[in-house]
Amino acid sequence: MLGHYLILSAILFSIGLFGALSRRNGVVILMSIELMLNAANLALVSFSKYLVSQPVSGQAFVLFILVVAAAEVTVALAIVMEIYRSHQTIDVTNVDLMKW
Amino acid sequence: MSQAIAFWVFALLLVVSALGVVFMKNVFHSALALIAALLMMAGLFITLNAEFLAMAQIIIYVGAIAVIILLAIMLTPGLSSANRPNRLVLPMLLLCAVFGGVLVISFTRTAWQSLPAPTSMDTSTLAVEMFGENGFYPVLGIAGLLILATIVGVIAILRGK
Amino acid sequence: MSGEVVYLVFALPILSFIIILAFLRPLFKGRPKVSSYLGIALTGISFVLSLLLLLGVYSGKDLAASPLLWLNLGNVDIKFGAIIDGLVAIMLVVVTFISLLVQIYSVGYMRGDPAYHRYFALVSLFTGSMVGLVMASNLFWLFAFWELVGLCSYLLIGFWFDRPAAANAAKKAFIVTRVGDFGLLGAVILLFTQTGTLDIGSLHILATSGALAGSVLSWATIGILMGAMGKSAQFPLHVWLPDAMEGPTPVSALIHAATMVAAGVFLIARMYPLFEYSPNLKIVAIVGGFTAIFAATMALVMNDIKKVLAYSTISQLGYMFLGLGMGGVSVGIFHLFNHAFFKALLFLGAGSVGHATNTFDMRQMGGLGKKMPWTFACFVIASLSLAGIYPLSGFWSKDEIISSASEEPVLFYMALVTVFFTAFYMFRVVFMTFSGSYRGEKEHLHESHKEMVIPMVILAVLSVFSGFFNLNGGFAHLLGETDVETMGIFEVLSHPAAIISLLVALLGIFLAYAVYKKQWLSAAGLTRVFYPFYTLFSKKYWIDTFYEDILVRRFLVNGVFEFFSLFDRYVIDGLVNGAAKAATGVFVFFNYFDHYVVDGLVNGIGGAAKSVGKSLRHLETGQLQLYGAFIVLGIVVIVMTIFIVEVLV
Repeated sequence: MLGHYLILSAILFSIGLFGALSRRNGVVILMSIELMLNAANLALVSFSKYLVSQPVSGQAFVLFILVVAAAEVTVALAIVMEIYRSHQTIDVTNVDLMKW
Repeated sequence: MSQAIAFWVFALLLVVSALGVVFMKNVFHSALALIAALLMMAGLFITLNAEFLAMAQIIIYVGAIAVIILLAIMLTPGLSSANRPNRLVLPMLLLCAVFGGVLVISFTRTAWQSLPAPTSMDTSTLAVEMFGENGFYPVLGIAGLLILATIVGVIAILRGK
Repeated sequence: MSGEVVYLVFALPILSFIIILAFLRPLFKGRPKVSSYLGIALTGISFVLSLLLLLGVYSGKDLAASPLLWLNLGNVDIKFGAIIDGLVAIMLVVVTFISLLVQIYSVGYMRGDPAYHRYFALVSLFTGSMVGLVMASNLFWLFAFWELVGLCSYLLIGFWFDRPAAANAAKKAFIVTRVGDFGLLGAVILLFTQTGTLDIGSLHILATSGALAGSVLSWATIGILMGAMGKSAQFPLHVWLPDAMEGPTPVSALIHAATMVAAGVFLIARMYPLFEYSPNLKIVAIVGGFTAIFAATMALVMNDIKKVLAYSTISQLGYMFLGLGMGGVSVGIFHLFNHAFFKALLFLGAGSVGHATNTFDMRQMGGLGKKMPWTFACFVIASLSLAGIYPLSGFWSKDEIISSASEEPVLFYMALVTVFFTAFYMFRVVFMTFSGSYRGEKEHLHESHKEMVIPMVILAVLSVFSGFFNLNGGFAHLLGETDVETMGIFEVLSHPAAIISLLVALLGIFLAYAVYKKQWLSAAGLTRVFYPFYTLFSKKYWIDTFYEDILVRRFLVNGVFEFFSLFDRYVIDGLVNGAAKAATGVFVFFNYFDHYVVDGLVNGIGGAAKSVGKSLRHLETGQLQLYGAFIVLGIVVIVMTIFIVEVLV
């Protein structure tokens, strides 16, 4: 059963990764990143159920990931809003100040 | 048996809604698909005996994060409605497929030393893990600091000059 | 009282730093005094607690602080813990006490400074990190706080960073001490890889039991010594300390007495068992003895009062190294203990004088004794103590060092000559500053505020009495030494080394009196007679010049880089051209070969680097998602490589 969960997690991660790498819209990229975080959470929780005798460390990790994800998405959306304000767009391909 | 059925149902719906997040034309629909995916994830947590996490998932992700994302979509009118791919969509698709393949292969190649019987656990074990002796509670304080820093940072970014 | 109190000693200054920076600075812009009160109050509590710890250790109580597990690396635990023994307790008292007095003094000295809050925040952090360094039970944490102390001194030396001199001095201090830190880091890594532990107590046991020996121990102690030499400004890494005078004067007092430079001496004392069982203890003594006399000669000719004190500090630190190398922990640390009080006092006195006259140039002073009686009295007491006059504190510790050095005649005589120099330059300062008539331009000179005078008076009292602490061997007992020869307050005068050093010191004072007070001998005449020496000393042996011009500018910039350019132009091109010339006529084929293949190679390599750079920079597209794709690609490649290797092997 562990294998099933892990493969699901891998698929979910890849979908999220694809979204993060291929979409122009900043908000969609953020949502894709949330998918990737969730994939990692799923793997952690299934490890904590099937692999560890002291069962809940994985779950505790997931709680902290939730906290960090909340912080991350808030800051990232603030940045997206700021970019929107200054560039009138949230298309990340247009935000290339770091270009050579 | 019931776990297996629940797993397959949630897993299928999860993958479908995850694909929806990425491929929906309208960003608002993407966000709704994200909410669906997060709910499916909560369901999967329940199949893994992580009831508390499932509730936290719904409250934090669906209740807070998804709502913030919806708010951001509403605050960037017009521009955010289109969910278009960039120019490198095909190479990226290939890359992500290879990456997913690599992940799956390494997961399946690893000889997991599975426990004979899956351990049962409930919320109280998690509580002990978090707040008991040698628990994670010092880290909770740091997490609180992180949230505080986030709030200050967001205000600083959005307050303007 | 339990040993955990020590964590409070550490946490309070850090807390003060956080509160001042996070809350007081933004919220109490108009009322800067608030942050100084907070800093003083918390450091005061810290001081009281460390005094209690010292009393506890002194009465033989078994104090231990249980460590916190900070990091677990496989089977290695890195713990955040504290050692509580005599050495630590004494250092804690000295650090918190000097910091407390310096902060009280700074209320007057820094009055009206626009960055008042930042000043007190940094002093608190400085104190906290020094406390952390002192109590650390683990080399990892010791190193971390060691660096933090370095950072704080950087920030405080460069406190007035809008002045280029201050900014440069801060950089210099940071970079020069970094040379030493490199050695310390190497030693830490070496010890960790060889023993698998960084716990100081375990390392002591390993060294004393002989499990840690041979070249490993030898190299480790050399690395530790390098770190200590950088922090404690020993030759040849002493150049940063005189420049560090660019910071506010109370900070100089703190750096010179309690925090920054004391760290090096403390480090050697802390790792003393390692040195004892390695062949390098003698090197410590030699470095110290040489630095003592070397720095003292430069102090003879400086005209800036703070520079004299700075070189004097280097010289006294040399004494401490000498004491550690020849006598033992208690000899070196006892001098550190006494030196902390009178050197802090000297700096506070110099600050008080500078505050009144707006200059630190002694040629612009004179006759201040009548205008500033309190400062004058305190400064004279501290100078007498530093010169080693019986029965002030400096006498006791210096006497111990000199008599312990008597086994090595060369070091012994170097130490004696240094005593003479010390007495001379200190009283040169005293006479030039406080006697005669005023040579500066500022009018209405007056004594400093009472928050500046009171700390000086307290330190003056301690400069007189702190030497009695070891009368019955109490200090050495505290440091865990058992066979101590006790010295009575009068018996010591029958000790030949003590008599000699006392006479030499008096001779130095007399000479200063003759030259600068009565002018029986003219200073200018002396300068002329000893002209070569004067030039050598006042140019600081050209060491600063050597480092800046030769090492950095000539060697690195013009030398190494220029060398490759010349190599390219003359050797490679020369070879190519020379071969080509020889081959003209007969070896036409070779000429072509030369022209196209060899030249092509030479130019090609250069051209290739250029064009690779040109094409690679196109990868910097600014496209976030492309960067992400490269990360993923990298992971895929790495994992695939592992797969392939696994399959093949």
